Amino acid sequence: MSSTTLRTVAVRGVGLTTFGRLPGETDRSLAEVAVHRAIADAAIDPSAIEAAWVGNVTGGQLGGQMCALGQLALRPFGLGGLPVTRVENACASGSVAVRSAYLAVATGQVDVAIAFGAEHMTRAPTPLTIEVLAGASDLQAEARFGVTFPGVFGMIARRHMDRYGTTPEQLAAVTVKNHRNGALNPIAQFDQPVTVEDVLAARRVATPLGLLDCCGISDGAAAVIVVAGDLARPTDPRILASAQTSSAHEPFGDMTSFALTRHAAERAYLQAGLDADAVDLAEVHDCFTIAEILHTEDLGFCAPGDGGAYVEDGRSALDGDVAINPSGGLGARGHPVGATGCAQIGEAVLQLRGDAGERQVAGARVALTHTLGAFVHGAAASCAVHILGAP
Amino acid sequence: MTAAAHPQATWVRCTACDAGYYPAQRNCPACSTWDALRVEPLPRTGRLFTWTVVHVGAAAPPLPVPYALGYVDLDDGPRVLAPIVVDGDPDRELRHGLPLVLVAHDSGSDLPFHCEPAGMAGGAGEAGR
Repeated sequence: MSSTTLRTVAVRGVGLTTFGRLPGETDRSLAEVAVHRAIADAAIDPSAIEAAWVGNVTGGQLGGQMCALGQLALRPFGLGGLPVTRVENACASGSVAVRSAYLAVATGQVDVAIAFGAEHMTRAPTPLTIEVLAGASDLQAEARFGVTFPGVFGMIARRHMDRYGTTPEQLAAVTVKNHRNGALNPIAQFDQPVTVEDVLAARRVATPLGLLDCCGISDGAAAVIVVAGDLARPTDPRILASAQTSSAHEPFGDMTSFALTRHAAERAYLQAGLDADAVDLAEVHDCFTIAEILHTEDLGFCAPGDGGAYVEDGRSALDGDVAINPSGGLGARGHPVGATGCAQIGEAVLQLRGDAGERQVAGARVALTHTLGAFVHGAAASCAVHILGAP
Repeated sequence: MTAAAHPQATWVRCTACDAGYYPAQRNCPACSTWDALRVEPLPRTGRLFTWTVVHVGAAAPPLPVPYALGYVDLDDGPRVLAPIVVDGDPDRELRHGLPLVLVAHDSGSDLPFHCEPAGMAGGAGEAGR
């Protein structure tokens, strides 16, 4: 690992749109709102922004605006001339956009950078959206056979249940918790609490997973403005660590754990000089209920196999050991895929500033975000972990 | 004379170190041998590693739902994703470790192969998918 000394990086502003079904909007129009809100939150002149990264996945296939989303979304702010880069890293695109902005500031290339992500997905019929998202698997060896992402995580759930005795009720506890949190989040797509019985009775999507085990199809955008430490306000949270991994050389494994999550977490904890016990809240990639259970284990909050009991016993509730997905997560806040990573950072920042309203985690000092993308040959293909700290 | 098997009902083995890869690739990362991998038919027997029954499908491929998919550990071969064809409700018939056979489709098929339980009565055979 390089020994380059990294500068302190702070998050000076975050902006989120409402998440949900937003007819009449586009990737670009939603991005414009998120960028506007982040600039207002940061209280900076837009011209101070020196570089931009934008996360977007399905725009080309669902919306038609394949290219130049970032440039178009920044035009209304009088921004031109700066480097603007689109990031496609499947569902981790927004997180990798944040990481890119972080690295640019940490290494002294620029003092102020913006990362944002936007996705308008409800415009398409659901089967088309499922097809486009299945393109995040190996087209030749997986998607061609009709694999869907609920199917992938259904197969993972079956392994975890067989190996560890994880129950459908424990999977349902993830949805119950996340919808309870989402009901306290004004931007959440799903704002009604649900019961374990509701989750178990929902129609099946890909066995053993039902509709309420799956995140929805969402529209939304989020933006994050990062600055060098000397441009931060006293209340701005710091980015303590940023790590990114891929699955290129990961053995297939037994599908009950994601090695790339464990490796990203190890690197992030090392960079931050913290361990899992120090984390007060975590926004993790709960695209499906079983996913949150795996991440709870892989991020070190509990032992392998104990993730189901962890959520069922309330240890990941807002007042638990680690508040997991206080925003409602992908399951309740929503999952406009390119925006998700930025939205997770947004929630972490609100929590660390004490601005999270009714879902505020008491005394939050350290927040972790975890995003996962794509799935090839039995393993997720892209992962980003960030750790943020209150100043 | 039967039709030729689908060209992608295959995997590749390194001619230098014998490591195997699915799907086909040109490099052997185990020994850095380039472009010296021989194509072999996928093994015809294996066991079910995990499965799902998909009830909400994609626009393409346009498969009638529900359908079963699984990862199959082929004997002395790779783990492959495959359609799993069974008589009756797959969630009742399937279990981890169930012995399966891989049925290669002919070269004109959209899909290269499927799997079905070994000895399935009236096996779907090459007409299965």
